[in-house]
Amino acid sequence: MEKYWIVFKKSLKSELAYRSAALWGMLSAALGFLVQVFLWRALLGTGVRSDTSFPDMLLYLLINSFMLELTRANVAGMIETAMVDGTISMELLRPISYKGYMLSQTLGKNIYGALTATAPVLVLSLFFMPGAVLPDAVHILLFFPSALLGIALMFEVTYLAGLLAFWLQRCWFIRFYLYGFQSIFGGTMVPIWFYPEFLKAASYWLPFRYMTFEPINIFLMKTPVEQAWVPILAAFLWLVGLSMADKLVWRAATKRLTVNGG
Amino acid sequence: MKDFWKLFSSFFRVALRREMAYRGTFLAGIIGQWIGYGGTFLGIYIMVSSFRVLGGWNGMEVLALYGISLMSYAIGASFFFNFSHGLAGRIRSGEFDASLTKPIHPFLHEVFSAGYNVGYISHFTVSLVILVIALSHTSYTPTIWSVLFLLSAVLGASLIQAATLIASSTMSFFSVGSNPIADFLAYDIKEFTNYPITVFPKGIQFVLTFLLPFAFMNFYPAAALLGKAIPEGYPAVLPYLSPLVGALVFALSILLWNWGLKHYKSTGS
Repeated sequence: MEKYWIVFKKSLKSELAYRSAALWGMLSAALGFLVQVFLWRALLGTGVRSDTSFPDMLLYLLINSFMLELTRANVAGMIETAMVDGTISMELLRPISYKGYMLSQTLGKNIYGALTATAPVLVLSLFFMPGAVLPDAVHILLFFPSALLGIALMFEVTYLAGLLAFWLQRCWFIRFYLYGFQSIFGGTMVPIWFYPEFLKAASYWLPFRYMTFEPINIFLMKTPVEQAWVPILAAFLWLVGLSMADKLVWRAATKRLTVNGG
Repeated sequence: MKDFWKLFSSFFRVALRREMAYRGTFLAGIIGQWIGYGGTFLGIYIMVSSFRVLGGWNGMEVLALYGISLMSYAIGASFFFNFSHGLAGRIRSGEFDASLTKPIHPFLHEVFSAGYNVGYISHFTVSLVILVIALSHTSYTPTIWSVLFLLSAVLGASLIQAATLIASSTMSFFSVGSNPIADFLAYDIKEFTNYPITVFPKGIQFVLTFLLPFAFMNFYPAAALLGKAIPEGYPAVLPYLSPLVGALVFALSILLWNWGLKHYKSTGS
């Protein structure tokens, strides 16, 4: 465990070097959130839908962007670079699982950005949501495992897709697929409760809705306590299934890999 | 002028060959961007249509708004993205200095040698399809004049997009590190233009019209095409000024770039 902690700290430290980037990240997040605030104020102001309150929507957007920021990873890009410059042979020699290494590196890199970009947005949002209803203790207790599973699942899918880098010459486009599937089937852009029926039905067959949508639904108390086990179990099963898949893919990938020279 | 085209086409062929070297990757990238941007279009449509209307625009109308913006980005960026995002790297490595010794203006040489970015064909195709679908579901009726107006608006918008990329690359003459201010201006501010600017407060409408004229990229021309209201008290001629504004900011961005070039000191490597 300690070795993963070291990777995490190293990765966090290298982010701390760019102070001014944090400032602009903060401004960019605040501005992006401001766009959403005005947008949803105009939409909810039409009074067409009464199932969503303005503070609920803002909480949805905030938690969603925090979780996305935390798991934003370019595993394919990291593997691609490591293969091109040969550092992959060093990385594979380390007495550490490659997946664990990628995970600690990603979290270390992202946690700083998530805190610096989302913290000011939280402050900003306090001005806009005096009427926010915070969840009761049971829902908060259920939210944490659900959110952790969601984050793990997001990383798992990114990692699994990233392993494709071993077969492709270039893989800058993998993130477009992930982004597209997440916004179409995962509710990262518009909450799934606004979806048309067929898309809502389709989203149950894929892992994406369990990443941010279901945890937030629990936080907003839209999922009753007695039904909360369903999305939590589904997320868990997806995680187990995909972890098994990534082991198979990993075995095939390392068998295939040839590192030339050094 | 004849030399200009000869130069452009030979640089263009090189860029095309470079992209096509990995045909499978190229195709997978295009499909990926269709899915990515398709998701954004779908999201906007679901969002607006479940509330029926956003600031006076319905779902299809907002799609047309975003379609024009993405199409103009595809056109502007296919010529200037590589140039704009590669400049800092070329200055750092010293390659840029070679452009100063060529018998054409360094700006032209940089744009040509950075290469046309063929990948934006994906943005272009997805925005074209969405724009056609969206417009056919609105009050828009294609006549010779309205089509010409739309084409000139897209041209003006592409010039604004290009100007943004050129202006943001100017920063590289002063600092070759990452360029967050330019990214902020070029990408974050532009996010406002995905939606009708009438949903934003007056101050933001003013900035997007008179200071950073991104509203001329899609909002004003689309408002004219679809018969939508513009912010209260603004001159009624604004919706027709996109090509003019485009040409103006494009010229300004090149002046800015040349001003930056004058202050450039080689890294000496």
